[in-house]
Amino acid sequence: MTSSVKRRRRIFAATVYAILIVGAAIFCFPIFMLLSRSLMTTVESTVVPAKFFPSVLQWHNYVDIFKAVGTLEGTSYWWLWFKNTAVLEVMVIAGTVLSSVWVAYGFTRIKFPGRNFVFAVVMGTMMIPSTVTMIPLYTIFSDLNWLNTLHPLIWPMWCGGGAVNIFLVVQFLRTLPRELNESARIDGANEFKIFFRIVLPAAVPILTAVGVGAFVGVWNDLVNPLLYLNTKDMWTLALGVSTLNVNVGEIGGIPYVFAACTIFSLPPIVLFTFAQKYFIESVVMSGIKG
Amino acid sequence: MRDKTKVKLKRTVTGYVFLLPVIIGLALFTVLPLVKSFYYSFTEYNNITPPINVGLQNYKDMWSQMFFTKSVINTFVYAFISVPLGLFCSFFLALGLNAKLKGIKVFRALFYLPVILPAVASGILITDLFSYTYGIYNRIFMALGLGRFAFFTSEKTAMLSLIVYSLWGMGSSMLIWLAGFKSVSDTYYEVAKIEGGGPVWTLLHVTVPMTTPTIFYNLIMGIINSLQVFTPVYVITSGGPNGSTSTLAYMIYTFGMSYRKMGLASAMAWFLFVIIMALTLFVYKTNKWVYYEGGKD
Repeated sequence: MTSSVKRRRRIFAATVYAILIVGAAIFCFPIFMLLSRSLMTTVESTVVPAKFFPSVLQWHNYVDIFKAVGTLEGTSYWWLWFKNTAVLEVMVIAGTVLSSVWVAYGFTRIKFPGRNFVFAVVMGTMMIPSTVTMIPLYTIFSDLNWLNTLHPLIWPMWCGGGAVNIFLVVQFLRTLPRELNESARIDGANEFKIFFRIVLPAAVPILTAVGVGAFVGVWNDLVNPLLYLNTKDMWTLALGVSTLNVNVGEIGGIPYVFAACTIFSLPPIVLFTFAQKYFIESVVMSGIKG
Repeated sequence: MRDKTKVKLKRTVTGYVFLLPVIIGLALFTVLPLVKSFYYSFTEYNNITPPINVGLQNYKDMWSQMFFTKSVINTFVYAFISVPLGLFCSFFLALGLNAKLKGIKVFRALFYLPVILPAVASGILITDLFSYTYGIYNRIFMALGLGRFAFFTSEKTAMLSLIVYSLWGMGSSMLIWLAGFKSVSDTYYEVAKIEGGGPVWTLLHVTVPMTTPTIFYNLIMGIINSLQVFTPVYVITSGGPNGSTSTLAYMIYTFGMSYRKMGLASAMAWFLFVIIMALTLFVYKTNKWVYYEGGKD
């Protein structure tokens, strides 16, 4: 009896494993090909039919790609793109994290007229497609003389970091016990003191998730850099990498483009490995992206 | 008594100090653009010369633009097929990945890997792997005797390829299912066991009904997001060949940014907005558990 149950269990496990292994192989095959083709010679990458493996691993592709995009007054565009992306990351993560918890504090910890109305309006903005505001935002930033600067990508994120992030932090703050506030108030602390001394430290877990989401959002964003950053020296890494494919010939072939894509993909993957919990949280809470 | 109103006033002022960033953001980056966009949609505008009033002309003219009708259809086809299909497939994937087996976390990570890959990199990669001549998939398909396909470069298969490509990212909906499964209390499963329900019965009568609300919400939000699909279209197909993968968002970008026909593009954007609003209203009418609920405490 028990042995038959055990056997059935083992068969079940084996079946699930078999299906998962086949599935994972199919899902990861393109990523394997990304690595494989990034290590081929240019000639190898154009062989018909396509090859699965390089005959000799061309590690130097990963060095050569850094010389392939050209320079501006002696500075590689890679460096400029990296610098722009780094500045954006720092400014956007700081803005999103700080302003979302600041705003969420107002929505949850202080009671005053109009609060729920503003919250409803903010949540309502989730339904506004970004395509509707795209053109007027462009003209507004153009009027502000912000085109071809990083400002249009930074400052909107200092206004709460978007409805989804506000919602996430609000939900989290609601789970914190109210007594925290009350006892602090009795001790004579004002709201700002309570915010910085009590609520901000307590919100670190959710803010980590928000920060991770903001990092990936900036790293992967193509649309906004495409809209606002015109000259090559102002581009971000994502925008720079997206153009490599267009000038494959100039770059020196697919292996170089793939080497760049691999390097570019590493930071989010590394972050995922180390901050899986927060990463998953930010995905589950904000739903499927289009 | 006077003290009380003073405290109240102080609290209100403090409250608005905390809400100030979001109020500024709403005014500057949401309300003002909405008003402007609505106004532009009735004008001819190129961001250089002042807008010229043309009434409803844009809303009429957009239908005669090349690929516009096609784009509307494409947008619907993409959103209403890829999202439900992704949720459906990822349901079974999540069931497998919910099994209590050794190393299951590694598998979850592997299925999630394509989602983490930046869209720019994954777009470039997929374009190459599905290339007619140099693509590895055509080598595999030829070896299997299925013949050679043009995938993204043929009018017949481009949209289908884009939808299949979107399934590669089903790791994110898998996570949502997994979270949904976890939210179902163990007591339900215990009761099902006591009642003598087998695994399939439990799945259909406990797991599915219990996770439906989350999933329905995600289905609608997913469709709303997918109606705005832009990046894969831009990176992989540029809307081609012959407009077969052009979407509304791609049209709005092309007309507004490339051709500088900002009035026409704004009209297209409002057309999309109305569709999305209708969908959203539908959600609120059919469900009371959406986000607003939490706003009152």
